[in-house]
Amino acid sequence: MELFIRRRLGRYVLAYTWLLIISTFTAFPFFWMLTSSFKARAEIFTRVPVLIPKAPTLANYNYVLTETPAGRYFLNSLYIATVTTLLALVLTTLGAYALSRFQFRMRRSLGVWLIAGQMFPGILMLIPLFVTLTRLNLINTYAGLIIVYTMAALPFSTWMLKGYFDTVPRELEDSAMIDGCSRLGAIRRVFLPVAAPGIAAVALFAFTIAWQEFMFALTMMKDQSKYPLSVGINFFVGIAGSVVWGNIMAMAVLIIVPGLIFFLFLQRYMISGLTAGAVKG
Amino acid sequence: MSTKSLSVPLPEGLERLSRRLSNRHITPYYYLLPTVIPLLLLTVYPLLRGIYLAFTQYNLYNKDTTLVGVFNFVELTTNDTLFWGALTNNIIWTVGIVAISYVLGLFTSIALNENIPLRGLFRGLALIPWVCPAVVAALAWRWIFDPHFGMLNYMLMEIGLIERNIGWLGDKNTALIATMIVAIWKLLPFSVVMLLAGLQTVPEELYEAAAIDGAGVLGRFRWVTLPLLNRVGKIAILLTTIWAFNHFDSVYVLTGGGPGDTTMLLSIMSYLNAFRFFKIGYASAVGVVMLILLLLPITLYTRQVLEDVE
Repeated sequence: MELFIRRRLGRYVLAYTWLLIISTFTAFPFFWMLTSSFKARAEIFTRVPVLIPKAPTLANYNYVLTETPAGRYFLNSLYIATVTTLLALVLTTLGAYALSRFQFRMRRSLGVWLIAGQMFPGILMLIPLFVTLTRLNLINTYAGLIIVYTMAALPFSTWMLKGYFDTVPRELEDSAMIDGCSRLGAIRRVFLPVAAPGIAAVALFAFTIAWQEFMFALTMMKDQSKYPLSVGINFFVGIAGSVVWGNIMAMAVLIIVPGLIFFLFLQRYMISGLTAGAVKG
Repeated sequence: MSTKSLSVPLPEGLERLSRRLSNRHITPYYYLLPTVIPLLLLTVYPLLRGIYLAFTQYNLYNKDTTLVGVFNFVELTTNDTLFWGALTNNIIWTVGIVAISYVLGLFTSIALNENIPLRGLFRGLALIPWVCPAVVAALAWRWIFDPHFGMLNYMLMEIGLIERNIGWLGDKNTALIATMIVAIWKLLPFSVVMLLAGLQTVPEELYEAAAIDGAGVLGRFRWVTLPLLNRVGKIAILLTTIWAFNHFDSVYVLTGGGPGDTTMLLSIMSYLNAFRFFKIGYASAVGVVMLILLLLPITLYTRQVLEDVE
């Protein structure tokens, strides 16, 4: 018994020590962004770094929101990410349903493409898309970027949804169809409400892709007023120089706050999205 | 459905055709159209087009789509002073990131799999880098790496590991490592989540049985944990390899490939050729080289995932 307790204690100590080290590594940049964003210039440039500002100030946020187009960038990102998410859901739901429920020719090839589809080098997709979208006059438009992000989200979203739909019992629609529903009616009334958590996970995935993406936006958006946040902050650093850390970190906080809120409330869905297809339920 | 309602039997051939067109056979395709058409237009077409462009000298001025064979590839491998360096960097970068994030992820997930108080909090802390866009991660770390006022130099000086400030991102000796740290930071949540999910499928009885058979902590790790993580571990490694190999954002923001091309990766090289020098065909050739190098991991990954489903 004593040996058992000692062993258990040893394991606890080991686990806690490791977790403390690793969470310092993962969380410190967040802590540093947050505290730096509340620091006045005098507390940024110190020989001994100030961990927690002694005279916290909102000056950085004030500056970023009134003197730079950060608010505009935020709305751009919000618009692009929201439309991408809706589009991705509309385009993938029926397809994923078919993959989950029907047998048809090319089913396997489609599966292969969905899995492999987003593994290809982004840069190799970016170049031809850039050429094509230029020809279609879609460069420097929200629509162009939304199309590209939908493309990026589509393969994996479909695969993820299919995986979730597989866990919903077939009998659900079958019984609704016996009761006189058409297949589409059964999907809408009975199936979709049950599959909602899977759909939420996919929505989160698509939103995150659009919210975080940088390379395509950097290439496609020319007007400053159309920049999403990721490109906007990089542009700001480019003109202001990488010295106004207080301002930059305030902008950074604006970018990560929506993600953090999602994370706090929807962690489970995020995790199920990340592991979709990799771990059998 | 429709065939059954017909009272007059149809000739053999027509019967078959009618059955073909009936609901059962066609419905899946209607359902698939909204997914498959965008998929064809937005992933299949660009990929094929990109591969095609790699065999042309297309640029944004000449718009010349004449095929020139493997010209770009010969140029790339024999005349481009950047290519071999970028390829080497890409390989070091990828292998280093995948190996380190796997090992860190393994330890972290094992610790998180213990039934300890505050486990949820620690899990959250280990996962948050995932919500941070790569650009923001790069900027936050650039501030930490700052040569004069950065936190990292200060801490290392305090501990006594370094005597003088290091210009992490500006120094040719440390730039690649510094960009790797940022990528590991961003990728770690992924390894943790995958491996943790894998660990949670390991039944507790197996550990007990191993313990009764006299296996110590290390023995149980070696003979129970590792073999059972085999599958999830393989998937995690393949996915992180592909992710790291293709990565662009954080390195572009941190160093842009410098100083002195020490952090030049293939994706950045391709980007610069395409959008700074407008050599579209040439840049596509770099992309195709990346695709060829990734074919093996992509195939292995796809096969593994499909195998699990069927």
